[in-house]
Amino acid sequence: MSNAPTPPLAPLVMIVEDEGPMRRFLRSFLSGSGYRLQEAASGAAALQLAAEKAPDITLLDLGLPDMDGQDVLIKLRSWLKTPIVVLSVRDQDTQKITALDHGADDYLIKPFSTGELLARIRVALRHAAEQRSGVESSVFESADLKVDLAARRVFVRQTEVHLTPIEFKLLSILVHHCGRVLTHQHLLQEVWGPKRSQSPQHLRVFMAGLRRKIEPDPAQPKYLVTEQGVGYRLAME
Amino acid sequence: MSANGQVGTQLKAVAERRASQAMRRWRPANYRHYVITALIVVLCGLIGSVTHALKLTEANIVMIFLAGVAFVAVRFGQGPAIFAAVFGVLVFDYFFVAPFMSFAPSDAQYFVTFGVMLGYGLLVSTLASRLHNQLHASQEQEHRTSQLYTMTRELSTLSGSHNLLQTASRLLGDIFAGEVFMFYREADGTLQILDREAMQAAEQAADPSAVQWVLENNRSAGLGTDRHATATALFVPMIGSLRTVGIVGIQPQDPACFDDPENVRMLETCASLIALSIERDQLFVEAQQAQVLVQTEQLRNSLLSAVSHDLRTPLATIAVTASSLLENPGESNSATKEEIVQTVVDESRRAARQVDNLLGMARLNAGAVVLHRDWEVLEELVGVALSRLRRELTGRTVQVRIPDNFPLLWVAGDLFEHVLVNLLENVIRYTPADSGVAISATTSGAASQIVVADQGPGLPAGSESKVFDKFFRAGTVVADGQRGIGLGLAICRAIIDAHGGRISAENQPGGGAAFTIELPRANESPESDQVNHVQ
Repeated sequence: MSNAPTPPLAPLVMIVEDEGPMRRFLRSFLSGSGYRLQEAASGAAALQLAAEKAPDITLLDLGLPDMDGQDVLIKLRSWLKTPIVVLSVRDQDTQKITALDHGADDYLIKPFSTGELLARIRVALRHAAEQRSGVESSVFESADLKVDLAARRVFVRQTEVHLTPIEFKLLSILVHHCGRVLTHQHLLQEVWGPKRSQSPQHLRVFMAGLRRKIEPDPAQPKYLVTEQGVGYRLAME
Repeated sequence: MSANGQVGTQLKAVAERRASQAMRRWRPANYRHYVITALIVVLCGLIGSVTHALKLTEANIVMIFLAGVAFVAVRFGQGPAIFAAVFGVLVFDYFFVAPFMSFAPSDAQYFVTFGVMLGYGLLVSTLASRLHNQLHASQEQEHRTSQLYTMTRELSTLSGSHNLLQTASRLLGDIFAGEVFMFYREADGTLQILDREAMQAAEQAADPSAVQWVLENNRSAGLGTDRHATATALFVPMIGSLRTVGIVGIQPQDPACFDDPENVRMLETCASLIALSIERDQLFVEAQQAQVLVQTEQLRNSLLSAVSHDLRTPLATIAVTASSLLENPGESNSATKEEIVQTVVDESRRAARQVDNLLGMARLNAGAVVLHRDWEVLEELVGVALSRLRRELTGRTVQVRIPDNFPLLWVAGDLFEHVLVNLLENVIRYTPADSGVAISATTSGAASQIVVADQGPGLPAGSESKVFDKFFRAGTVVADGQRGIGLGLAICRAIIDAHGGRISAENQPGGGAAFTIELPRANESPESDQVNHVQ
């Protein structure tokens, strides 16, 4: 929480949440973490506020009183380029997948930990910045894992591991979007191309193989985290 | 109060027609009977002439004619008997009384013979016809009794108002040889016709007012009665012991059918029979519903007590600890503060999981859960379950042993994860905080086994199968253990059952409980060979 973004100007976070207590908590916590805030308690208010203030990142609760959160998401995404992180209560997986398909950058299940929230906001903001500048680091490092995208080499505890081409492609896509959840469908298309129709179990099998190579304990993964029913995420420290 | 008592007026209305109709039924006017009668009289004459030739007295010859009249009276009834008496006297007078071959003035004395013969014939024929009618009536009675018996027997084996009415309708159609209309009275008093197609026919057979009249007055109306007599069908209420369950209408092929009060009475008896069958069926259904209601009530009570205790406990803890933080902001040292906050977090997570379980059970019970099956990697599911309980599992050693060649599982990932979470939570709740837990998987033959084993005190003897019952909670709880609602394992069983598998619990020889999930190997897990290939 200490390494909040520093001036010239702190990022502007728009909170779209109808529940008072949750909004109050997010307000006090995020402003304490150095972010500037705008709040909207309904979908209509959110659409108006976004147009006026152009937030750097939006936290969107799916359960809104006046309109479906997914509709708000679609409307915002139609012109808003900055990241949108969806907040929802633990519910059907299809909701999350739909949100990601509609252009959400990430999602968080309530109740979430504050550390998790900050991490997701940071990841989303960094990805947005990278996209704007077009600069991307070619080396990824997290704990004992090091991935050199340019050299196509992967190290675990300084020992090189050999991956098959597909495994490397899978890992490199996750590295590109590190910290963000990628849906099964997204990964399948990125790895095998849009024309090949592979089923999710295909992906699961390759992921299991990849885990055995880079995870110390594949059943309790440190890096390749499963988002049950949705997809995978490459966890950052 | 029976329906039979209400036909008084109708009975009178048709009473006069009854006798003549009864006669007509067994003795239709038949000219052949008269021809045969004439021949019999001629035969008597011939026998008489033989007797005459033997010089026997006239009285004997009269006896022969008398026998003939008696025979005719028994065989053919009144009309031919009268004819035989008249014709017989004429033949006797003409052939056997002097002057022979003629009627003489002195013949007037044979009016006595004629009178006796006629009276005798009438008497015999009346007696015979009464006997005949009685025989016929008892046959009819027997026939009806057997029809009623058939109906009773058939209706007693059936259940469901609709079935009962349909069968009754078929049987009535057979008995009365006609069209049957069944009107069933709904609980709200409206009439429903059994067969929609019969609706039009029924409306033609009776103006609906006849049916309405029957419903309002609880008495028969229509054909053969003096109310709505223009209708072509007879409508009879089906009166049970509690209420009128409906109306039955018969449109007989023979419109005169209901001129016979026996037929009306028969129909009314049948209607009562149907009414009682339907009532019996309804009472049975109600009794069943009452039983289900009692069970639901019991379930609801245990659910309420579970919810009120186990859901309110964490909430109360949260409220108390959090308010203490608010009330003494500066006082407590940071260690106490952290402990308090930790309690709030733990308790709220616990409450959330219990709500998850309650909702899960409600969905499973409502049958609203659809299995979105997919080929899942067990390792991944275990990983997700462990990460969900990471905080609760701190301090425990978790061992996962899944063979590399363990096949993919054909399961609904979210539900299977729920099972694993519940099993692990069970371990957390009932075993000491520093004891270990092991998850292992094996395959044998056509089944895959997944075992979650702990190092706790084990299950109370004899409760191995009961632990999966709703609201069952083991009596022994570790000192500081949290009690659950007792739904977790019930949900596990419901989910595994839905997958066609089995879940069981047992105590391990070395101590601790082991929960075993057994899943049938799905046909050809498509990429299991590729798992090996990828390594």
